[in-house]
Amino acid sequence: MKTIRTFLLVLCVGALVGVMACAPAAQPTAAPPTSAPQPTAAPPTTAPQPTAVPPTSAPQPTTVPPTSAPANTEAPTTAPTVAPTTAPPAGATNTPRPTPTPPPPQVTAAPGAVQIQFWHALTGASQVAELQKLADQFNAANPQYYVQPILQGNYAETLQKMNAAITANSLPDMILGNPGDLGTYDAAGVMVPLDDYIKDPTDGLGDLAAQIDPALYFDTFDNRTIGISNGRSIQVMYYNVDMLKAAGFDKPPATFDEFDKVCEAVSKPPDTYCYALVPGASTFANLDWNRGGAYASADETKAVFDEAAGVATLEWLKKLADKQWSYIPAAAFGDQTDFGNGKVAFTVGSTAGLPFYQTAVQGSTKPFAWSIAPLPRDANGKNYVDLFGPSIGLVQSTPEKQKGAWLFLKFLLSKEVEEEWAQVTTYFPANRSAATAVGAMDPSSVTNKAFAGVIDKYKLAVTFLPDGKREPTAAAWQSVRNIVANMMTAVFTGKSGADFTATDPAAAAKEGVERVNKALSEFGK
Amino acid sequence: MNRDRLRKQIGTLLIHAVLAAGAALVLFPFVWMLLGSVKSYNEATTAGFIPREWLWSNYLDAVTVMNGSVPCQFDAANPLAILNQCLLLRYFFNTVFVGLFVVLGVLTTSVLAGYAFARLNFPGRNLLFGILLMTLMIPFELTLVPNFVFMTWFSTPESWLATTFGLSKEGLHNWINTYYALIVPFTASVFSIFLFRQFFRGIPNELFDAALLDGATHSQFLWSVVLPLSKPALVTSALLTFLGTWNALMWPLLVTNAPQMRPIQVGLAQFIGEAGTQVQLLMAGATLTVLPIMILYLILQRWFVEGISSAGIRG
Repeated sequence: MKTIRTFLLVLCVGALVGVMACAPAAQPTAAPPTSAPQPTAAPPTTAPQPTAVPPTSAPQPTTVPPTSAPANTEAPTTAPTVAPTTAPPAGATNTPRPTPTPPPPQVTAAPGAVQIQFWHALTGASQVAELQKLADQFNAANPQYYVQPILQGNYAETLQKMNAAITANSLPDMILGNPGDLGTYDAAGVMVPLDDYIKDPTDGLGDLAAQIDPALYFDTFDNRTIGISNGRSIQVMYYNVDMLKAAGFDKPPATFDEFDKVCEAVSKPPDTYCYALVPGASTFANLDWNRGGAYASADETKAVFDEAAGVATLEWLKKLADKQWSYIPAAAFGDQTDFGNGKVAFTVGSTAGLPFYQTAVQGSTKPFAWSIAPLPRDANGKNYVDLFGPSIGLVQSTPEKQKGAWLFLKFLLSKEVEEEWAQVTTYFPANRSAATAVGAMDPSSVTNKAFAGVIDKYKLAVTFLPDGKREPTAAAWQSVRNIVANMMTAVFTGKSGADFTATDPAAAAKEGVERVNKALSEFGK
Repeated sequence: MNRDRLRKQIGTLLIHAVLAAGAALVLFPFVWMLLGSVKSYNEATTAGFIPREWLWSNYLDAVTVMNGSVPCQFDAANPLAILNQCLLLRYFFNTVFVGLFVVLGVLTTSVLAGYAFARLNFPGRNLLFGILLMTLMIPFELTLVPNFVFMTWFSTPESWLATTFGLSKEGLHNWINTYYALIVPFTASVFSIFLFRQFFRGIPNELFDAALLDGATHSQFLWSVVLPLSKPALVTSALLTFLGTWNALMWPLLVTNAPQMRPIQVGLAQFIGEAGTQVQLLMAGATLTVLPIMILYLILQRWFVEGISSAGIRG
């Protein structure tokens, strides 16, 4: 008993010391909730607020043409012919370190400043630090506002928290999430349409509007702009240049037939495989488009991948499995790992993963040359690259908070900020002039080490952007992504399960469309 | 004689070999973590058991990354300030602080409830216990939103007192972003109540009768007789509860907004990005966070082993 009593005594003393030393962080919200969300405020009409901070870097030369063009209107794009980088020296030191970021200015809220909570899902440590740094810059230049970026976990966790916050009416003022997630929040009636802010003569986008392609970077629901992205990434095919060369291929496969020929030559299971397949809706949609499929109806109300292109895509996946050219990695990011280890010739992933591929290859016992290319297409088809990434929206609050949140969003879209953001995230800026500037950067002038290591691939990816195309953005589509992934897994592995029954490509496409359409029709009910 | 001795030695050798193999199996994840924490990214994710180059700088990097890429700095004039300046320490403090209070709460409520269900006779006792057990089957995810709503309804005691007595004009503050939300909802555990109830039922009635004859009340019997006999159950419940708190991620994310209020798991999650995981830094961060617990365990090892072995509990 003496031990228990001593333990209790120590616990109480510790608690007292702890409470005294570490008072709960500020910013609790008022309780209980007493009012419904404020109605959307009218566009701001007060005097313009200073939003820009002095540029942090010298203007970049703008010698390359704009990198973003309207999607789906160009002639078929051939495979890139830009020379891949050569292999790094075998003994290259490979210590992936966090990007050195200068300490933030530790800006504190000015008395009476309007507090703006910005919830986001960017879990990468460098992204967290950069977002805080940008908020500090904004707060220093706009002392009447105080923006607080708050990490709320990954996208799924942020969605869960936001849904709980909507129920409890304990909302942030800004939110970053998948476009479909913003649509979900909009369906709950808590989002602010941005159209009036965009067009506002004083605080609107102004000249910035001409720099942003709304088709690719705005998220529109019911003809209202709910989200704007300050950077997106694209789906690309990573390939081992040396492995292809050793098999007699000087360039990446542009078509599915060429891809198969490479696979036949390089696959030597269980040591070497052609393609590490990670089932996912983005990969399937991209492959479907490249075979001439539509994936979804034009009004985004139905899935249509049970047509010829979708079935052909699944048949191709089945062939990859049957011939043992491909496998599904067991671990998360296992495809990156196996690629870095020289076990696989191709993977498919986001360009946001470029720095991870770089470190994986560089630190390999046998470093090799690698590069990226668009996913293969039909012989007479057109290449598309799936363009995705988070968007930012405003949550209904008070007119002052909404205005501050809008000004911060506008600040994030400015050229200098976009240039910096692109280097930290390897995203492609929404701001065309920023994209041009980053695309024209001399590698030797890049201070961000992680970005400097992949700038050649980043520039190559920029050339794919004119073929950018977005998956359906309607909120319901976010909820059906697992169905598409399950369909791919069932066909590839030939195993039925509770999540998906059919394993034959045609039957699986039919079941997949039925399941997706059912889920779409039931979404929100 | 020699043959018997040889047989005995072989038997001992075999037993030790089996135990060594078991120990190696248990130790392997720890060794993997330790070695992974000093590898390069590529080595940590691919081949090789022993690091080619021992990168001790990963530890410093992990601390810096967790701190928003700002190095932790110690100020001798204000030593406690490092808890706010260095997020790793803050995360660690929060986790231990919350864990200890949750353990204290769970032990208090579970011992009392367990004793009531085991020793007191009152109408509807079994029905109530059955209902309590049924709540074990409700998935945690299902209760997230309702519990979150409760957290926004409740006011902190200090803000309530300040408002009631006119000491502050700030108004009521809810539990979001406070230790209340991290501690209070977990201070009762059905599993622990069940554990204690079963344990208390195993204590001989003769002891209770003897205590009654000596004029002891229920609370005296519980405090002076039952609890000293219940060390194994107390240790088991405390360990499981503390581990649950240590590993919690979703709930702390849900009810906190400031990094200064978040636990260690949130800090470690920052090494997992949308496009890849910095495995070597994750391992270094995990090692740093596990280290104090391991040291604590080594100090209290005898007590823990005694408690667990006397309960016949095996890991």
